Amino acid sequence: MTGSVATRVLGVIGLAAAAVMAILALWVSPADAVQGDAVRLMYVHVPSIWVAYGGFVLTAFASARVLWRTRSGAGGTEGVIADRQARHWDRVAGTAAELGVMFTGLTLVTGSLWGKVTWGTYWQWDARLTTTVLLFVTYLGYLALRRLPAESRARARRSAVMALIAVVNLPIVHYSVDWWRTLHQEASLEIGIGGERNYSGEMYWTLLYSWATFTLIALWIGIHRYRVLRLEELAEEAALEELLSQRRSEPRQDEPVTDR
Amino acid sequence: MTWAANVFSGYALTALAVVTYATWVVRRGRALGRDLGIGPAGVGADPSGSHPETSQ
Amino acid sequence: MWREIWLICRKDLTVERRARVTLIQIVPTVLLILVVFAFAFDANPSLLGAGAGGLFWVAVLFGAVLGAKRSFDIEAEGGNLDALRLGGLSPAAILWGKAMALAVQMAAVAVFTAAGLVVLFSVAVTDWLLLVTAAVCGTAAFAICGCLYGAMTVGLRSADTLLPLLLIPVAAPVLLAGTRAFDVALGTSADQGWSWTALLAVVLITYVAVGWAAAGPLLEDA
Repeated sequence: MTGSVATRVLGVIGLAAAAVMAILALWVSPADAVQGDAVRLMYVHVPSIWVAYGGFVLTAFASARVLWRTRSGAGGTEGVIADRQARHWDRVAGTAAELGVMFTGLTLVTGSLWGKVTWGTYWQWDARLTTTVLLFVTYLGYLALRRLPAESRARARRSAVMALIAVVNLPIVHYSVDWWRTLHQEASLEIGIGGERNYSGEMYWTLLYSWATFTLIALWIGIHRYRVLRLEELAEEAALEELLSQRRSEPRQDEPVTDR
Repeated sequence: MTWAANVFSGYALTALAVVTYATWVVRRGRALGRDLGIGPAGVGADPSGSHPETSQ
Repeated sequence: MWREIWLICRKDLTVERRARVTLIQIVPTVLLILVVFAFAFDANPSLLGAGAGGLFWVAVLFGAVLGAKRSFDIEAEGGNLDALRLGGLSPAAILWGKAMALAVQMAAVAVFTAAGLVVLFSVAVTDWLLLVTAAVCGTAAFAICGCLYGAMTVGLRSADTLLPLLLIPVAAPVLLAGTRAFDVALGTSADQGWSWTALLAVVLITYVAVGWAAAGPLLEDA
């Protein structure tokens, strides 16, 4: 029950956009002069990583908001509002990271398939590929950390710290991997991934259109995912309520009830 | 390997992953909504989705 | 502040002196990694010699994962961390004290690993200063990373299995830069060893800054 009028409209638009995208990307847009039809993988590969980057930026922003809203506790109404906003941003961070991981994974898979056609191998220890796979694993770890059961405020703060460390670490990873590879093989694999500038106008517009489509679909899934997280919290609260009322209806025992 | 096999498997895998994930999300939402007794006008009815408890 | 850091550091080192987990569990494990690598490369001396710099860092990284886990295991039981905080110690002091103690233990692990490489893989050091500088920066960076992620997962049920997943990707730059610097110091490559060591120092400084910022949010409600 996570749909609404807005998401239904968004979903229909997303589906239609995806259908048009398939036609544009697989049929209308021309084959590349060098790579031939293999270039059509670009329209899923590049938008995937753009959406993933967007997701990770949103995760970082939301995580900063979580830490900001959970600074040492304000009491009363203000505290309740701050707590509610922190939970909101925590859900946003989790949703965005999950989408980011999925689209990074898709980028790696489509990139391998593309590489097999253009380079002849699924994988190259290229700087960008290595950075991307480390990015993927880092955020897999982030999602794993989020899954562990804990008190919600502590979990939100812990995840937020992890997300921000990941962001600080990213430039270091990128720089060191870049340096590592460029010292060993000069200007290697620019045909496939790096050469978007050389593509024709139609390809450029198809790429932008695909990116818009991917963003719409990611948004649609994201809204639903956010609401599922909200429902999960509600279910947890309901379960706790039930447990408490059971406890209250039990005959009093002598030992005090400890909540640990 | 030909380009066609790789291009189509790339598109197919992308579509499959997105559809699988979306299906899982929607189903999970339905199951949770049913357990909680929230109707179609539940969480989704509040555009922000964040404060359904205000309507209770 | 410094007194608090020193207090925590001494506490952790005393625990280690009594229990000797690093010395009789982690160090042998790390040496075993070297042996296992010799199996993997069929004890080929030229391959092992060429890979010795990288092996050192892989072995120390796994040692750091174990060390970080151990370092926060001793705090998880009996609500030790709460007790320390209630005792008036600041989160930053706890983190830096533990990081310092872990760095000392990792330094010991690194020394044993290096000795193992010299004995088992017959490597020869051509630039001691570069070797030691890179080793100090790298192990200190591992110790800080380890403590940050140790604090992040303290008391969680699957921390044992989660910690390597969190720590290894973050440690990747240290692994890369440390390996390059060691290759130069061991005379197996003519790379820019000091530039890589400078990168290690930058990583270390970054993690010191991250540690200062993250200590509060991590340890206030761990």
